[in-house]
Amino acid sequence: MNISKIANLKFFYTNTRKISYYMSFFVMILFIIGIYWGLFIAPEDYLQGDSYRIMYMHVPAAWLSLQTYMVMAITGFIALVWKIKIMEIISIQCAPIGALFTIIALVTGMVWGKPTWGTYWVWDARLTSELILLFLYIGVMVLYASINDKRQAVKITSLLAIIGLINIPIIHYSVEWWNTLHQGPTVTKFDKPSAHTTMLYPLLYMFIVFNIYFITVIIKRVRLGIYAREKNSKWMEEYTDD
Amino acid sequence: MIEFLSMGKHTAFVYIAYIFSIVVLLLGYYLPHYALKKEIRIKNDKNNKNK
Repeated sequence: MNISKIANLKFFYTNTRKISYYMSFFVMILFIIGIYWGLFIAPEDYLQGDSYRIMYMHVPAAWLSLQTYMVMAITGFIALVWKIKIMEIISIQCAPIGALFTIIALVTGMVWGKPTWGTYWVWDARLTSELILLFLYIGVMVLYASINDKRQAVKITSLLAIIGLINIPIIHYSVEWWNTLHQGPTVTKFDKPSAHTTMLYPLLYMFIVFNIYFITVIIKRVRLGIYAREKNSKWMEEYTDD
Repeated sequence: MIEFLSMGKHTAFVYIAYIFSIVVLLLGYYLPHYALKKEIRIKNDKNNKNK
């Protein structure tokens, strides 16, 4: 399929309604399987007991918070350089989803921190840089909402997203560059992951499910963004499937 | 049943984390879903008034 066709707002809006509908059911079933796997099938950890099961929500949410930011910055860059409308919409619609993933990562991390570290929060490099990521997402949303000319707004938010990219390697390498209470990498040591496969597989499964959730929600949000922009256009007036 | 659901001394922490995540994920899905429906309804009402 031609990429320029997918990038066409009318084509995207009219062809993704059913896809989004079916993906919603699909992702819900995948989540139920993943949650059951993480809570009841994966074995108990010898050191942390059952509290480590929070990892199956915390880690994929944290990964997706970074990944969503990268998508927001890259699509923002494309929108800035090539002025492709759908990229502008994708970029700005990534911000609320990324903020949700970051909130999940922070809150589940706090709930996991209490039984593991004895405290909900410490100002260590990983936690603080992840909190800064949340502020970046909020900053992008507030900035976009405060400017009336939405095409101009996307240019400014894209710039902010690109500048904020510097925070991504800081979050990722913070546990190696500084002494942190947060543990070092467990899964990304591909030569020798320190988690056993019975614990690792449900984690990788949940990472895939979170990605499918991201695609499902971004389709929904992009449709909303297209509608907001094109509701007075002729093709939208004629479209009656919604 | 309770034994099956038990996570030992960390039961509350595990379930709070999961329930919070599920609620936030559902919000992330339904907010744009209903926002679009609302926008369409407003537009249709407007069109009907004009007719």
